[in-house]
Amino acid sequence: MVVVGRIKRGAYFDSVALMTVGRDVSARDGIADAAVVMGTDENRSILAASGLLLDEFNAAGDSDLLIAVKADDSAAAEAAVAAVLEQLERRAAPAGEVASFSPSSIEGAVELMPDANLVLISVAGRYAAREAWKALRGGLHVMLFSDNVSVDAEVALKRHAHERGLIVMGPDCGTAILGGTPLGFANAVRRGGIGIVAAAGTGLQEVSSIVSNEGEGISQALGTGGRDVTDAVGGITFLDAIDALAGDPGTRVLVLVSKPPDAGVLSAIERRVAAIDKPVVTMLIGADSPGPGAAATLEEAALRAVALARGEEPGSVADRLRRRDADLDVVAREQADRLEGGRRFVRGLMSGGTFCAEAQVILRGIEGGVSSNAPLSGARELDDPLASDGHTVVDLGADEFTVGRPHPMIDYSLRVKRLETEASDPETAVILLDVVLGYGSHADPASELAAVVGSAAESVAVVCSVTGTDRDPQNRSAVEAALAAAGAVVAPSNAAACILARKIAERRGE
Amino acid sequence: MRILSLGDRLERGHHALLARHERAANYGGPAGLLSVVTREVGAGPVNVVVTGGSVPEADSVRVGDGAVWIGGRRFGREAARVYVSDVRAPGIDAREPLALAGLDVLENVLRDEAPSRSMAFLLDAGRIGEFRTPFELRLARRLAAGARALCSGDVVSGARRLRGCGFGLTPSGDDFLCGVMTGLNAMDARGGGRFGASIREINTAAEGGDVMVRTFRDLAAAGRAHSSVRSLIRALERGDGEAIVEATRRLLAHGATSGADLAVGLALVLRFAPGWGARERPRVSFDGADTGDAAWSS
Repeated sequence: MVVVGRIKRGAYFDSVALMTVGRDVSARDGIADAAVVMGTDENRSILAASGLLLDEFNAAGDSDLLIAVKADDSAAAEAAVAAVLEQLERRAAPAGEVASFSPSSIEGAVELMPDANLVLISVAGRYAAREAWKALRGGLHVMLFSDNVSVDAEVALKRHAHERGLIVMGPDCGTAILGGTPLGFANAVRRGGIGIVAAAGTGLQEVSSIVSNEGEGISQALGTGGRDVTDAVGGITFLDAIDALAGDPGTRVLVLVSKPPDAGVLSAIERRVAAIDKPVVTMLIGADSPGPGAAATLEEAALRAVALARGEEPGSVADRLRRRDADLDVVAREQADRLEGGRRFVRGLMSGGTFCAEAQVILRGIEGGVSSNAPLSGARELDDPLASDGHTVVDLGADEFTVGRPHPMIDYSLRVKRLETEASDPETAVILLDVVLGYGSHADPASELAAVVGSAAESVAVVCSVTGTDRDPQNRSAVEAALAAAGAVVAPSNAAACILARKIAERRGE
Repeated sequence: MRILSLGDRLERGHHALLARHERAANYGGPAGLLSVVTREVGAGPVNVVVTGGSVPEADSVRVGDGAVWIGGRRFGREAARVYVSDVRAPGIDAREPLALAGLDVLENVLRDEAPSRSMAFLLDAGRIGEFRTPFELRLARRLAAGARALCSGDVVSGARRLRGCGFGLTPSGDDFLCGVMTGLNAMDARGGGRFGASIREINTAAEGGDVMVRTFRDLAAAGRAHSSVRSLIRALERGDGEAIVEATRRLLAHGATSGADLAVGLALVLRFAPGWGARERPRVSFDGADTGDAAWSS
């Protein structure tokens, strides 16, 4: 082992930046340990205890940054130190440069960019409505990433926007693609003629990614926030977004994605859709009566939209999915037959709320039923979200898991821990995972999951899907290959992963 | 731009720019730190709170008897309110049921909402999993060992282990110590002055650090605190659960983990310090979050 280090004099970074950089470098091949810390006496003493202290560090002061890397060989160590310096440079540069130009108010931002017509607001919920009002009064559309905005405020904002020909996406709108620009958690997709309106964030990501991977593209993808389709809000944004896409010459096919809207909103959507002369695919996740022609899964909605955009018969999609499901039978048999003992339950550890809902729909009717911390109709609510009960699908992005912590699409630590727990449960047959790529998501999810998936796959079937495209920063093909190499069965969509998980569990239950 | 409030511990004299961020510019002066901050950051003992959304680009700040000069621009002190930062009175008796109930609320918010890799792992052993590399784990164990020593009443040893320990501008251990001294000050008024000696011992044992760390530590030792900390102390005094939740959330927004680390120090000292000086020292365990020094000293 060799230890290599550097001192950066007078360099100030916040603790999360330093921990993140240190952790990233520790995960590199050939690196045994690494630390990036301020040079206080105590930190140097911990470096010494960790075998990371270099003589030169004794000359450092409290305001100096210490970088230490322990590696198999000096080449790996030097490369890691160089990577740390580059990451720190990247983190420092924007702060320094942007600080001079970064506006601290909407008014300031508009001064800098007078042509702007939309404001993305991501502030603490209690301040979000106030900022949204400022934007609307300035004639700007709003994407409200923040949550914890009251229903009353949401309704008032949306009514005001509607009356002025503006749109408020959100609150709690995590993703959109406007004019080819991904906003929030969105994927790098092709541009094309398919427009999406979604009250389900990861649903929008799944549909837009599948469309892009099939070779078609997205005109616009508008998020509404999940609460928009309740009767309390009245679907104001959902309906306005349908109108906008109906009138958009670049949109040839519409896809509408949502958890089941309240009755009044559903009727309004149906009336609006009936008046549109463009093909519309609907996917109302978990709806008791989704309506004729509605897609059963996000995957099917995307494939039907692709077929319609190409002028093909959408019925061909059903044939294609039937053939795919038959292939899954073979995989399910292989996976089920290699499991031992009483392993018979599916344990879904989902980062996307929409995927959690879709999993429950696909597992609906399975022997013993399904439990969830975010149960749809027909599922049981978990007594304790931290403990599985029979077939279980957990939304790890729910408030009880994310308050004060990064979302599980960013921080995999909670999921890794839960994955270990589920794998050690002798009744677990399948661990079901969604891996969501794109802007804002974890930069290298395979590195977080590979080891724990590899270990779990020795005793259970690990089935996952990867939502994203090869254009995403993470590269979907590379992530899929890494997960497959670790021992996971990688399905082409969340729906396919859920179907496969069900088939394995049912075979185990026979 | 105008000045909204001035901290009550601003030192007179010239202060030179140390670092400028979007919402705060820090200046070093003859007696320590002075920060020009936006309304979002809020009032503090050495803060000059200004309107306008961002802090001015000034290389220096001078504090005089009747005015404050930011860059070359004069602001009369009479137009600004003075923020009174004293947290010591009326004080908390952490043995009373009302205070204990409030403390439960504080600890629950910290368990649930403190940011990842803060010292909240001392309240929730499961959070030790947030520290993953060998160095991070060793650091966490060291923090736990220092906190354990301090909470059991060995304040000098604890403070020496905690000072300067952690990542970032103000290391976690120093933020924790600020919380500890703030908590001791809050208890001192109703404790007959029994914690004064401990506060002095901690501040002496923890000496060192850069101007920011030194200033915050000295202020905490003097019973002075930022408005969010003061709000939390006041809420704990009243046993007002909702106010405790709100103040803790506001405090958690400070820095990356600084607010959380301070709040954990505050919570633990309120929990354990009443037992100091008893015939038998409080037995302090963090439910598996620390394994003692022995395993980590080599």
